[in-house]
Amino acid sequence: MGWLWPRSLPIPRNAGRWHLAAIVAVMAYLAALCGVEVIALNDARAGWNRTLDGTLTLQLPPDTSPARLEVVMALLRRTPGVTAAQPLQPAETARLLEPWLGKSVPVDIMPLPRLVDVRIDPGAAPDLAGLQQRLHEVAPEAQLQDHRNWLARLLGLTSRLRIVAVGIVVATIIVAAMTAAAAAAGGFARDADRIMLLHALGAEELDIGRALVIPAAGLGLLGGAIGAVAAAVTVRALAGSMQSLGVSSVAPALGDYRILALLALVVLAGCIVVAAAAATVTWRHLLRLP
Amino acid sequence: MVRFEKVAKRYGDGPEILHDVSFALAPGSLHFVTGASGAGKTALLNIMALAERPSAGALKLFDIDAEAASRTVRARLRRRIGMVFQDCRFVDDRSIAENVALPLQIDGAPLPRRRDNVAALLEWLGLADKSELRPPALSAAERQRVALARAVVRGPDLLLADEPTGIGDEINALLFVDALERMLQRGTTVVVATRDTAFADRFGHPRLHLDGGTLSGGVAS
Repeated sequence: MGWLWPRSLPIPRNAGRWHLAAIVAVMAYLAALCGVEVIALNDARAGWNRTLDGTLTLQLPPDTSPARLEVVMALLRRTPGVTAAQPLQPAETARLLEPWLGKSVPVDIMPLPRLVDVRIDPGAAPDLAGLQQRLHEVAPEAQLQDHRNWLARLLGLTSRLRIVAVGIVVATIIVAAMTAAAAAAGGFARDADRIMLLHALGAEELDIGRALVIPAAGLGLLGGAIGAVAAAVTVRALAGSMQSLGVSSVAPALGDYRILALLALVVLAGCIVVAAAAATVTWRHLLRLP
Repeated sequence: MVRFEKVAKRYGDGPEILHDVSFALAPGSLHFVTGASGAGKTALLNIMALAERPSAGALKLFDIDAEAASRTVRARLRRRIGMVFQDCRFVDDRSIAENVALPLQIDGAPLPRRRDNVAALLEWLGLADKSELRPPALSAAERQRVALARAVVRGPDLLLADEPTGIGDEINALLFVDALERMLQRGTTVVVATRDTAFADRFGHPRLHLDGGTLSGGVAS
């Protein structure tokens, strides 16, 4: 490990070092939250794909008689490409509405539409226009909702959100690198006389560079760690809030290995980005020495 | 030991400070470099100390082509050179002892060796009781002695002093030259730059005279 540690050169610690750590912490926090968002979006996409691809919902008026419902069901079962059709019981419909209406609303006295969950073969989907036409003939107010169009739009939206999240992560890396570069250049300018003296007395550029870059890398590590811890606290708080609303599946759990890996990556990235930026600026200045 | 061949120095687009300077210094010799202010003495010493690069020409130190040498080799060459800067140049937030120990610290010398060497040197230069003070607390003459202590703490092969007589105190200047002559006795090559030609002539050592950046009259003694 001897190669890693510089001979202790009397170069003072940067007075503005806490600013660098604070900015890296904020950037790490934003990057970590964006990473969590990407993981959550990926999970949501996978879930939607799993549950909605290959399903249709048929909506019938609340006053549809059991006989008419049976006619509709028979029509659906006869239709090529429909693999299953199951009318939802009123209690099940009420459960679906509970997150929006709450438990205290008496949904059993509300005029809720009758819903039919229709499973189709994604590889041999039925002629939906023809099916709608035939449904109209037996139940004029029947509405066939194809989730695949909605799902395609939703997946498009999540793709765009993912691009935005990646863009924010890239922006945070650039800001952290620019801050570290400015701090390194400022430190070099402030300590130029001392650095030139050490150089004149025989200190090697590599030793001077290490003495400047290693503390900067430490600040990057510290900032990254603070940002990651803050992001972990935020994720936990968000997950708690969502759980209380009954939508916990949207937020990945803090103990998820991907979240832990992401937070570790953020800490490491804080250190590497700051060290790389500081090393680039420092080395450029050192190469100007005779 | 030191060989300049047609060395020139120019800062940016400015005039040439040194022009076609050629000379060679034998090991274990003491030379004065004289000349008026602006004659190029400091530039000459800085090039010799590898603190600046010449604009043209060749420089050999200890039989090594310093201009062709890698950065690592140049750093190693610098460690064989002791330099007393005109403005002394200290790390003001460190004690006198720490400032004197700086070259040994750069070399990675163990702490006991640093402590012993520095204590002995400060004792020799009459600064033992000031070792814990900071440089700004010292007089100009004391600062110069500290600068000398730092320059010789490694036992350099080449010792350079820029205007050591500039502090206006003749006794201190003589004491300074006495210390340099002691280094000469242990085989160190010494080069002293001064604008005071009369002072340089008092010691009978060879003299390089710079006139407008040109070495005039060769080496005179």
